[in-house]
Amino acid sequence: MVEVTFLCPDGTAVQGRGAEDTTLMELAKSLGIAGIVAECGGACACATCQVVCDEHWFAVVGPPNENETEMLEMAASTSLTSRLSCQIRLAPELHGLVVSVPEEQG
Amino acid sequence: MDLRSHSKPIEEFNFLDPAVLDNPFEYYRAAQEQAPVYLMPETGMYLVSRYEDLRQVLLDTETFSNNLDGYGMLQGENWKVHQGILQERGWPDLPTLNFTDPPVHTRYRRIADSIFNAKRIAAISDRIEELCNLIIDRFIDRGECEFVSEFSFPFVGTIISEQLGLDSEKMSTFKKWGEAIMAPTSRVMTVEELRENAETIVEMQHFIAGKLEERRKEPRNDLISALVSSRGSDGEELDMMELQSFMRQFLSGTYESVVTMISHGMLILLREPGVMEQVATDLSRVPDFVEEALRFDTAVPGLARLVTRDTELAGVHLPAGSIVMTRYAAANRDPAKFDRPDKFDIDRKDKAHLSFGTGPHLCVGRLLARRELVIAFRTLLTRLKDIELARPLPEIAHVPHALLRPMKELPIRFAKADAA
Repeated sequence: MVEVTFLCPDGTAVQGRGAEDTTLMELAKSLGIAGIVAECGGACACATCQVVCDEHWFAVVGPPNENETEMLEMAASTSLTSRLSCQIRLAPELHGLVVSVPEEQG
Repeated sequence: MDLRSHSKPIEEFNFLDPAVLDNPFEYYRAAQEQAPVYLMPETGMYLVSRYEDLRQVLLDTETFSNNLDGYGMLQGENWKVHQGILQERGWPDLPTLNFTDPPVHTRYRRIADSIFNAKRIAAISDRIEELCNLIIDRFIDRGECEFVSEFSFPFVGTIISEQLGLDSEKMSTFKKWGEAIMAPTSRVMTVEELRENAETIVEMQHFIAGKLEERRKEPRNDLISALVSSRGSDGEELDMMELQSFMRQFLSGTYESVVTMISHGMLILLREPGVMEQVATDLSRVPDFVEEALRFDTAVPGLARLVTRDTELAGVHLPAGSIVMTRYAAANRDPAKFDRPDKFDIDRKDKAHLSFGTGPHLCVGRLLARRELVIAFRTLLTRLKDIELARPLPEIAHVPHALLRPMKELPIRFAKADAA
């Protein structure tokens, strides 16, 4: 199991564990993280499951893939270390991952 | 509690009965309780009514394909007459955004996303608000209006015609075209009707071709200019056949559905106790109102998918070649997903309705639709108060339609709010 912490816009930190090879979005949904909408269910057809990593974790998680980059470019706001959580597969090296949930998705 | 005893046997309903199409929620509940994947004898299609089953269908595009002739599904052999006329004098149907699956779909989807994305919608929001106020100006002094034809339709019609480069003074022509695109999905038509329908589409296609050329030469700040200049992942611009397909899908997707959703929103304000006051006194609740309205009575109750291989859904065997009707409106009232699903509750925490679908075909116009709805209700509730129904609605309030829920009329009376 991979342990992850979500920093929510209301200031709370929610911790959870997800099975390897499931996605960060699925973990967020199972934890009921309010800011992770995932309207397209993980098909990389929207930008409503965005998370922001700090620089350290962004280097470990890696940059967005091509489709994901296009979706992020269309979102209302993003940062340089934004990712779509449906495109992040949980793996042992992500144990301890910390991500922020943005205030608005879209 | 045995819920089953409360619903009438599913066999006693007929999906195509205008009364059932008008108020389908008892039928949906009966289906959920008795036959969640139900082969409807009257259509030969399978109705999928439970939230989780529907989600599974929408996410698994390999088994449940969108690669079907969505426009002509009901027309059988006669559809060839319609298609022949387009082939001969217009542009034949080319599946692009709709009626395709990944990866063909993905190329087109990226282009559509680049046109309807959050930044572009934000950029046209002020104009949408301005148009909304202009439409209200036309009837506000009368203290009454027929809401569907005097607000919902001209509001949405003007936005779409501006954005797609169609002249808004040609509104009635535009309405005729929108109806011609959707008519074959609503009922079985005669050969003569199909012929006439195809002629209308050809007329629309030639008009659109002219507009596309105009914008290619002189781009403006509208969606149609963005469309002619956009390039797929292969770097190629869309050719005329592809552009025609896009425009047809934009017109069918962005028009009647939003018109109806705005009318439904008003109907909910009139019917649900306390909601009008709750939203009008705190306009920051408009987005919550809009999301709950989308869940409660969506304008696009269902679309279709083609089963590509023998499969099983909720214990029901579905042979390859079957058509599944994806009933979003039923899933949105599934008690297994939504607590007290028949209650309109703007404080509802779970907003994951399926009114825009989900998966790779998640509605590409959802950001525009939401923006139009939020601006419409924020502006209406700022300028009008004491809104009430001016006379009773017809006994069957909706035009019978398998995929949409157009309202026949919605006459209202109101006073001017002080803020106006």
